[in-house]
Amino acid sequence: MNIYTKITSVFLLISLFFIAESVFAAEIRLDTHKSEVNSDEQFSLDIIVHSEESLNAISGRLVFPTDKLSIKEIRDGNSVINFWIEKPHIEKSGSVLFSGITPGGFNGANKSIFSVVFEAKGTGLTSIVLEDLKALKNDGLGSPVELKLNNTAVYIKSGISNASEEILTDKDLPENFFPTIEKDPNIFDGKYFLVFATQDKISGIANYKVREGILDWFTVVESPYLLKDQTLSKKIFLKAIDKLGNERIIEIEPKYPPSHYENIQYWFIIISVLFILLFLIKKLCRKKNSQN
Amino acid sequence: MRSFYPLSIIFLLSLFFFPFSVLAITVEISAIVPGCGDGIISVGEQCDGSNLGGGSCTLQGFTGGTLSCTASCTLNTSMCSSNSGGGGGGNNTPTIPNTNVVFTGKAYPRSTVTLLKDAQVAATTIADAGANFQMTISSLSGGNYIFSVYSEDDKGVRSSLFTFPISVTAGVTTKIGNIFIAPSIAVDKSEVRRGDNIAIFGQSAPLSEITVNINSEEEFFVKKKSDANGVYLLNFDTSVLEMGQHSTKSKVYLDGEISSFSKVAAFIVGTKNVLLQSLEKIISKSDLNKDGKVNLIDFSIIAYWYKRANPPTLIDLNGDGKVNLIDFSIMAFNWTG
Repeated sequence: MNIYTKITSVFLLISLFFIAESVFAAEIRLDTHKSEVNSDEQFSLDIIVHSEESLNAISGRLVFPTDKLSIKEIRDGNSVINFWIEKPHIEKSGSVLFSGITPGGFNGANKSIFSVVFEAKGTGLTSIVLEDLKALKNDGLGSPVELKLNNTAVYIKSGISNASEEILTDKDLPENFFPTIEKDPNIFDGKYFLVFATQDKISGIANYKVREGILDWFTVVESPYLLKDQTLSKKIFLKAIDKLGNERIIEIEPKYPPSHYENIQYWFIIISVLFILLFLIKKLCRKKNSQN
Repeated sequence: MRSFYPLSIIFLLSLFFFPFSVLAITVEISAIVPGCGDGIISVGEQCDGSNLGGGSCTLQGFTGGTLSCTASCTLNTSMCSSNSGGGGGGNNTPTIPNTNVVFTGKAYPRSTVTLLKDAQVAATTIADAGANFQMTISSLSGGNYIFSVYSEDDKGVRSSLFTFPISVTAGVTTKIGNIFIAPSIAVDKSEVRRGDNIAIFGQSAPLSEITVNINSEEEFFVKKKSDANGVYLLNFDTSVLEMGQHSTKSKVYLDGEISSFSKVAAFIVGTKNVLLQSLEKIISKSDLNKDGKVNLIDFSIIAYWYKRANPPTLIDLNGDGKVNLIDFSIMAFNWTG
């Protein structure tokens, strides 16, 4: 091979590299930060997007072998996705489903979609892949973008792991937010519903809980939430809880508070005071009788 | 005495319920009116009402207590506390500086500029006569944020969202400068008779160079100068365009800075002139509850119909008979917060 042939080969390779780059406007890669782990070791996998074009919607499925890996945690606290249509969750054994949007779109390198903390089981080479992946352009039409996929593989070897567990610390509350009560003929048959969303930049939001009125219990809900109290006469307590248990509680005053005579709290107070007075009078009477 | 057990229970229950009526905290849900007291942290404000911008005493460098907002929209740390550390002359000086992000740039003269933090309205301000604006948001957590800025011209036409992902470091003031919001753009006709003029107009920074792009088989680029109010108008002769669907967009150049392209305004070159009834129609497609905004409420409505059978035609934004990722993408493009 003479020098000219070598130069031509290098030129061709460089050309091929640039052609390949120009075909794919966006790349999604799986990053485990290490190619080899011990059995029983925990490691995190980041789902990263790099895009020249502005994207505003992504959906897909992360698939892994359940005989070699188990999920310890899913983290979406620092995601480039603002609103999840389907928050990353275990759809079925060995599959994590996700879809979400970023209003206004985003582009650039190394944007995190979400992360998964796996625990290795067994031994051998393990592939983790993305399936049914879609990324849409921020063009007002929802046009698909050509994607380059970089799946990954991890070799699990037998042995005791010296690596520490993937522990996250988060002392911050979820971010402040402003839930609103809405009504629209297109959903819930035109009944009142609650709309809410917030973020937690470290561990991510685990769930929301709502309590309608003081006699209710907190129950896990999702936005939009159909209110049980359609009269809007009860105070609403809404909790955003992050994955490490930090809670932010927002209280929403009733839009149509009950009159004093309709409010059960006031009746309790009045009746209690009456009973106390009755008790004191009776006691006083007994005392007088015994003295006589 | 036994007969008084129920009384004791009722009394205890009353004591249980009483604090709820005393400790009521009001969360105001109101219309967005720029200024202190609107519940939105705008330029020059550290907080607004109960909106502390995610702030807390600990983020201000104290160890505990209750952070509040003054009537002049500054953070009140008087109820925050610090542990002095058991001797050694501890002081109450905050050790962790606030986490702020300052945004500066150009919009349209005296236009309302809206800042979105992770797609929700975080601040609004009014640009000056030279189209310059500045906004500050405070008490953020460290982490990755997606900020977007948009403005609305004197005719109520909104710009495209100018979006930038930023990694904010806790305790650091991050400055984002040279934001140049793309011009607003509109056309006077939805269909124009071939050979007649179509008016392409909008607003941008005053006395700036506007490049208008008309999409056709052959693309046309026409330069116009905006006036002292930032308004530009191009009467374009459509005789050079072929029959069919066309679109136009614009960008602005001023003092070495250039904006991205504006939103796209579509029109048809045909056999008759059809005047546009209302400019608001431009965004109405994604505004499902017709409140003039595309935000979390519209997202909630479309999310309700995700993967459900027979969605209303209003919800199915691309008209393919189902609500899927494409409909969400269309909504995300038209987002106003």
